[in-house]
Amino acid sequence: MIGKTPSRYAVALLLLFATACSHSPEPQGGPSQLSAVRTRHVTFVQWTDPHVFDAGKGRTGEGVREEELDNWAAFHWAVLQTNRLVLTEHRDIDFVVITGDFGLENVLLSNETKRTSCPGDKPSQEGPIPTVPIAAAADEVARELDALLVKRVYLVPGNNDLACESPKDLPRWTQFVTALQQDLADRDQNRNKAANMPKKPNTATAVEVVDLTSIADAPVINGISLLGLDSAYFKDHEIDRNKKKPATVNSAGKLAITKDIDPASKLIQNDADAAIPKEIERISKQIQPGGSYLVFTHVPDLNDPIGRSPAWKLSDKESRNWKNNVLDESAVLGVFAGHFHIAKRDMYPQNFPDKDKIADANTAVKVWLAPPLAEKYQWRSPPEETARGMLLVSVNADGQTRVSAIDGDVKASAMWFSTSDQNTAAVSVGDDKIAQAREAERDRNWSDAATQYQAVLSQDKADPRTRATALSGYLHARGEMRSWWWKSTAARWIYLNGMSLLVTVGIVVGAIVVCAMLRWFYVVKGASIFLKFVFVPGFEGRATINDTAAMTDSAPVKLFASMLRAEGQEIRSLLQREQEHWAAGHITLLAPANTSLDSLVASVPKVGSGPADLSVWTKFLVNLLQVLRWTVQTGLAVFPPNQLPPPTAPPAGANAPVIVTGAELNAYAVLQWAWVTKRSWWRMRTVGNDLSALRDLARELAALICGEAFV
Amino acid sequence: MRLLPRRNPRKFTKAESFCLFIEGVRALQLYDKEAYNPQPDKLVLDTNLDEAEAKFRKCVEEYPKDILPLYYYGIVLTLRGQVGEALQLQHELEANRPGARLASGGDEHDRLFLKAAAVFEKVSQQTGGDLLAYAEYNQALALARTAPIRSHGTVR
Repeated sequence: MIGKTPSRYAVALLLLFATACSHSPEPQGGPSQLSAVRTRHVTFVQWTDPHVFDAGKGRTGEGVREEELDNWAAFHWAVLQTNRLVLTEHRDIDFVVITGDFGLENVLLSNETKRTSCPGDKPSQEGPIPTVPIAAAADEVARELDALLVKRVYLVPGNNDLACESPKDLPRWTQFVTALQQDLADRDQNRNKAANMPKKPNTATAVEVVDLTSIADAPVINGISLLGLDSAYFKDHEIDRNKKKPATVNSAGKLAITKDIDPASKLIQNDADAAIPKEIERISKQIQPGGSYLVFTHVPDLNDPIGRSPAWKLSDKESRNWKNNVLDESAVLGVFAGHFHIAKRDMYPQNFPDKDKIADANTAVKVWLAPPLAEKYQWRSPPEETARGMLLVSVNADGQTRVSAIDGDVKASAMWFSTSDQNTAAVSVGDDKIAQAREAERDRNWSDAATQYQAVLSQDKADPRTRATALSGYLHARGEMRSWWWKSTAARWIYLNGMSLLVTVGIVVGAIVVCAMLRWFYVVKGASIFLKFVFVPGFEGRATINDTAAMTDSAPVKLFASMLRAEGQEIRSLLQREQEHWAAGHITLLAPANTSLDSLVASVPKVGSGPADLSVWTKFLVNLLQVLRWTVQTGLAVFPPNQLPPPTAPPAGANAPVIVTGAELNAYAVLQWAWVTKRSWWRMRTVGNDLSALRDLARELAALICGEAFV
Repeated sequence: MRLLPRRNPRKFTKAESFCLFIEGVRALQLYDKEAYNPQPDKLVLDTNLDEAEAKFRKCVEEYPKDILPLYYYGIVLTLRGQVGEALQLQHELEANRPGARLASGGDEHDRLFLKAAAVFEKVSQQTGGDLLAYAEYNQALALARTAPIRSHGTVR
């Protein structure tokens, strides 16, 4: 027992130190939390223009439904791709912003029976898809958002979220957001109920949806305030019914340009004209000097790339208000919009058409465009040439750039969605190496991380987003490698393994303390006794006597083993003569090792080959069963007397006898089941003039072994 | 009334107890074997009976809870009493003074019989089954050998 305990500790120590030399696994990426608060820095994902409820506008036949499915597929992709950024790339995404155009104009409010007809509607067109009730629409969107790992979602309405793009239809948007918020809350509550967990308010299990255009206090993330500009009605609403008519020549011989504005559209324009100043004022009032602001809106103040006409129709006064009070404010870091559907990837996020013609410098610098998710207007383009996807944005408000490749406070890159082949189109070249590099970063193995990032930078086909990420990571890794503790081998080892070592030492010390306490309270001994009681069957006198081990040269082990078995038989005879047949039946089963069984097992014919050889398995099983039984291990030692008797010539061909008068016989017997020792005995006799000492020794040990059956 | 369950008479406290017991049995059987010899060797008889008594006594002293050695110890004491009684009778016959035992010399044998009866009484109290019947029979036999019969112990 004394010899076993240190060896157990040694094995435990070896195992624990072995674990100390390996890197501890980092926790898996889970639901995203707010990124560590640095100086005014946020990372977010912008989705725009999903058009899941008004898909198929302008399409015919199966194209209507096809576009609906495609738009939903893009919406699914946006959720999964955002989750992938969290899980695979381990990015801390602070929030998701959806800059409008779900297509709520084609959704029925509770008091509506049919879609609102608008000026300019073409009654013969087949699209869009059939209307759905607003509750169903909210439920469908909630199902998607509920799967997001990023738990903050901000919304602004798009022009296609208002019937006829009228500011008077804003309640449609408000009802949708409210229904969406309630649906998500219900889903979270049901989930907690299903998991039998109490409802925990303010936990990150539920997705929090906020309409940025309807709240008084702008949310602040890491010191950066988020503003929502409702530009859903900023477009030109007036419909000139003479637009497609041929121009007439007046009496002076000049082209007479006369407009015939649709009265209904004029009314909408009037409403918009009244609402726009209020909206711009609402935004401008929230901007305070010294703050940092991001503005999210749907329609950008840019020329529409298709019609080449301004997307906003503002009076000169409101244009000045926008520029002077919002866009030109240094506190405004960026304006993020969507709305455009042109299939030109180069245009996103900031390579606007006619950019060089934009007079206002801040518009060219601060406005960012996200590609649309919807297939709208891009269904004729080959999949690889579409420009659909989302924007990944990183913003620093302290003037320090996060990505040093491009100077600036805002770094945005588009991630592309493709209907045809998600595997090749959605995952950019080099993404795998980026993931490997990030894993190396998480292991704080900066040299490996730098190597992986460098490999990405050497790939010409990597898209700008991937390259920018790789460059950022590479520079960061190189920066870490320049630290003194990385250059020192010993310090680096402690840096990489210090925590694991500390934990391991703690575990070892704890284990030693626990073991000591257990030994102190005899728990180990008690457990050992309990395990023996449970797993080791009682000894009933049936034991196999193995060959006696010779502990000294020429010890008469065969003679001793024979005597041991004979004495076992003798004990049985003694008890039988005393009519103790019950006891005699117990103890006369001392038997030699079963050599006949061994030979039988050895003769099992070979069936199959290699690991499938049945004979090998049969032998193994038989041997295993043979181990699980009571056995007696014996050993014999003969020590010569201090004074040797006068030498006598041994018979011819025989060795000198070892059992001589005065010699000391030592024998042991160990009774065990499998590897568990039940009892052991050590006895000694001094040899007289004959072999009676050897017989007495065998007799006593046999009696002791048999006696264990009656204890 | 017995509150504790009767102990299994064929259980031993330790293997060493069984070892002493079986040594005693061996010596007792050697004694019996010699005793059935038409011309028994007194020295052999005495040696074996002494050894048997020594083994059983040691076993009883070291492992007082073991019943079977106690029973056999009582047997040995009875045998010793019988031997002394027989030798006394032989001596009286040789001296042509039959009945003198009653006057003198019977105390030593009676003491052995009474001791044996006490041992059997103890066995009877601790066991049941066949050994109980044997113990009671031997207790009665030991008491019957005493002269005059005294009321030591309770014969049930």
